[in-house]
Amino acid sequence: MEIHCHNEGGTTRLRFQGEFNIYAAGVKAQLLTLCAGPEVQLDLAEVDEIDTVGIQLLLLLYRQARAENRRLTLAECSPTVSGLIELYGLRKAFGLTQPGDGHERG
Amino acid sequence: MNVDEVLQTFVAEARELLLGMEDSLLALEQDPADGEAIAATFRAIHTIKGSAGLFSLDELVAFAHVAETLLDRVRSGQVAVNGELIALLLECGDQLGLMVGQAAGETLAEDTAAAHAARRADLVAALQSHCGDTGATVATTAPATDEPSRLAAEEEVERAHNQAWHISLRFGPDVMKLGMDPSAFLRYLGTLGTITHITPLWDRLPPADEMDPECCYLGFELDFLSDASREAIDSTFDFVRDDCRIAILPPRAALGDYLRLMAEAPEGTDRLGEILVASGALTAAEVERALDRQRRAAPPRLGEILTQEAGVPPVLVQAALDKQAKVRDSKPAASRFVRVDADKLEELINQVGELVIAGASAGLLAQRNGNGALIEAVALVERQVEVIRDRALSLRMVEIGESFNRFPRVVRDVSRELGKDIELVITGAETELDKTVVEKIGDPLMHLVRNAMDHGIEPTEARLAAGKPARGRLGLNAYHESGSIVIEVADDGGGLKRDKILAKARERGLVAPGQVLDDREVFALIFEPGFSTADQVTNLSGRGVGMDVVKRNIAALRGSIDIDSREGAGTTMRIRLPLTLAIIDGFLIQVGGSPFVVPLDLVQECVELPACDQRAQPSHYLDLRGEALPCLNLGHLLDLESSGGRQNVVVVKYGNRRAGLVVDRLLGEFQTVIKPLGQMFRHLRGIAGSTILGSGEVALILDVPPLVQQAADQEARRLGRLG
Repeated sequence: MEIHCHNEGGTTRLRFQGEFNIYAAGVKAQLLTLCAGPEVQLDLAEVDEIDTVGIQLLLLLYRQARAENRRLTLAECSPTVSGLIELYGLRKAFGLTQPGDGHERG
Repeated sequence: MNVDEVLQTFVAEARELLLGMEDSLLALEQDPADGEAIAATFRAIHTIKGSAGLFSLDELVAFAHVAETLLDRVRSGQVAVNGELIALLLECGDQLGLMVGQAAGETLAEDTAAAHAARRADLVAALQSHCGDTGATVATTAPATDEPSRLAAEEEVERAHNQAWHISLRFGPDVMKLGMDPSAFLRYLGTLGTITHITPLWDRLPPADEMDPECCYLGFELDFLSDASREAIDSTFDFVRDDCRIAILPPRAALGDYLRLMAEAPEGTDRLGEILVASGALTAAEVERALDRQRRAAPPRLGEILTQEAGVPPVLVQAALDKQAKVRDSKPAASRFVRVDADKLEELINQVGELVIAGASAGLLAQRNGNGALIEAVALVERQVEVIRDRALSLRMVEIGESFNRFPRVVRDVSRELGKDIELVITGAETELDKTVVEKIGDPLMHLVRNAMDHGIEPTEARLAAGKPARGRLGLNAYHESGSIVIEVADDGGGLKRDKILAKARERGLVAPGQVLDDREVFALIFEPGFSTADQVTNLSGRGVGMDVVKRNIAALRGSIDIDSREGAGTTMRIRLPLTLAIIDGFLIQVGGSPFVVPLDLVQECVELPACDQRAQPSHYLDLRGEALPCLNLGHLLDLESSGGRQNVVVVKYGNRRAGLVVDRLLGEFQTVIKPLGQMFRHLRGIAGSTILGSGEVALILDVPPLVQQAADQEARRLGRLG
């Protein structure tokens, strides 16, 4: 997986490319450093594979940001990424809007 | 992957599981309320069934299924545990073992196979009647009534209104490392029905610096609409069952089951209650009622009650809870083991043997060369080789418990058959010895155990009459002693009848009239071929075959057996075996120019032969600090011309006997790779094998036990002559 980092006026935008899966488990430390800014956007539109390893890393980043009162958002998601987030019921956790969440009870 | 190999793995695992199941059933017999034992039995059958399915062993699957159904009912408390049930399940285990054997390619004679098939049909009928079913209608019962709870029996079951299955999943940390992704299970579940709601739980995600990205910290509570059978849903998780917490509640499950789910959740009762309400699985009122009932019944946290109300110190409670946790944790520990082909270990050990010889050779050359730095370097290498040798050998070391653990079942069955009440006490099961030895010691041990139960321990009436407890005691014990492992089979029965044995031996001409024997020698007579003092021949023992075979088997392992017995108090059979068959620490000696090796573990000390005993008239015993030590002059024994100079005595000990070996020179310690002697020298007494020295010379390894015996005999003869 490749991570491209752009800094623009206090906003960090990270663009992920490739496989965000167990083979990318080593990026944890790098990710935590890259996401230390006050405003971080993650662009996952070019991620063509993601598994639980990737999802857990995202959850970690989210929790870290929230604990430190920083803003971290999933700006774009490829269908694979949003598919897994949907399957795991993690939309709300990532602060995503709920399109097509019609089968939610109530 | 080779199918045959996988099948072998299945067979090995199934056998292990069946053994474990047997243990659980025996534990259950002791304590019918042991829920862990029930669960373990169920898991074993379930796993075997699942894996057998992969190999299309349909007959096995069908049979296991019936047993599993019954166990499921036992687990849920619908069927009570009793002796009959356990006997039935034990027999089912045996049948499964046979079927697994058949899958592995073992063939049975046609009539025995037919007999087994008939027996199997009987068992299936018996299993079903225990289930309370008259036919094969097991799977057709509605799932809602299939899922009872303990509370069901006590009061009318209050059921949740949830029309969906509720599944609670907490994945184990290693799931992903094992090559599986939790998403795969959810996706598969999606093919069986619709996941109507899912709540992800990631509370377990540790702080950033402790988090291991390859570990799984996720859990889910999900509701699932499906017409699939419980079995189908259940089998989704077959591959992760062992290290995950999985709970599956059917539609309209009892509130009690939800309560249990909440109580057992790692997130805590209240948090899970909230999740269930939020997901719509339960209504707030239902949760409230469940919790209310819980408060009325026994509160779940025993630890809290104890500390608050009974004043038990928290430390104690914590210790008890830790212990429980440890018991629970002991299972995944098995995954730390690696299965290795025994042949590979064998090769490794042979290779290490060659390394030892090569090292010795290098050491010798360095000595001759006299280069200090070289000698030092070679000594360092040799020390490392020694460490590697020990490590390599320890790889093959297994706990003897492995061969002990078949005995609880044997003792149970045999004591029933004999109508005796016998308790088995196993100690020292953690004592380690070479795997090749463990495999070969099983049969002799089995014979000794059966013998002790049949002839050793008296019938209950006789015991009571003799003022002993009605319950006989059979002990299996193992421990290490100077380079050997000692295995004891002890009973508290009638003991050997010395006079009877002696009379019988005289009758058969094994002992000359007037010959005086000590207890040990008398008892050793029972190892003579065809010797039996039993008045009554049972189908277990008493036909006079066996004990001689036991002795021969043990001798083939370079071991020995002796007997301690007191009439009326019991008998202890003591088997002594070398720890390993491959490499030993040796002590190099020289007799008449030829080198010999004595196993170092058996050497106690070395002394110089006193001048008065030198050569001229070699005496047969030595005054060792006031003690008469029988001596054996190896030069005379082996017919070798002494090389001259002062002679030395190597004091060796085997068991509780000591003897001195008179030799020409002491050459010091030497790592020895045992090369067995060829078939031609099989009957050679006193020589255990050969080894190659650093110089390339061949040295014979002395077999100390017969030598010690010979020295003792020789002394006894002389004393007899003198007296």
